[in-house]
Amino acid sequence: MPRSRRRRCVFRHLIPLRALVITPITHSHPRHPLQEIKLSAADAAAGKTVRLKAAKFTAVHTITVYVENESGEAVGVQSIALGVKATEGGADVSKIKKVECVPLLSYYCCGRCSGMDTSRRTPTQPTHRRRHEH
Amino acid sequence: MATEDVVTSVWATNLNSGANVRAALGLGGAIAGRVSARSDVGNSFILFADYRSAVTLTTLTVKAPDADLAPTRIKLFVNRRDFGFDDAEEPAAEVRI
Repeated sequence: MPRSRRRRCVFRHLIPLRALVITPITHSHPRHPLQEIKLSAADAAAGKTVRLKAAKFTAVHTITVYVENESGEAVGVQSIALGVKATEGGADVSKIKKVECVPLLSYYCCGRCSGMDTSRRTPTQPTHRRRHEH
Repeated sequence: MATEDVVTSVWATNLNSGANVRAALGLGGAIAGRVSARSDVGNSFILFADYRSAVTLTTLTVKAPDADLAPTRIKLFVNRRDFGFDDAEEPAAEVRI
């Protein structure tokens, strides 16, 4: 991990830690979709299968599917089924020697936060301002 | 791997009140030729699914029997729990099929 992204977890008081969650790092910028699929209405009506880019869709714990009808009318589906297989070659936890805590909002630090990462801040995003109040 | 076995929870945003979210995600219960889920307001909705353990997604199959309601754009995001419609507006490399 590049040095600029390293963060320490600092707690105000001594607290018992009951669990550690290690989240896999996604391959793209967290705000960007991994894949966008364009369909014609006829394709969708007939039933259409799209092969996903497998390298990007490994280590998936939660999938979010944004569905839109660009004509502006209501959108409806019978189903959007996702083909699933077990992720192979997962990390060998026994070999982890050091764990660092990385705040989930480290990409969105806005300048008034301690530990700001200036190389990656996106201070003008309105969504970010709403999420990250001071 | 059976998809039903690995999905722990599903939920959605902006679906009509009678929507069947599990059916909309292809987890059984869908009736052939019938719309399982429809946007309540506007022209978009969002579906979420949590998996029991890390999985690899290989394919996506869309069935939309009503051409007037059929989606024309689908975006996929992974490992995002805090997600809203604003987040879906980001530009992306498009894959045309």
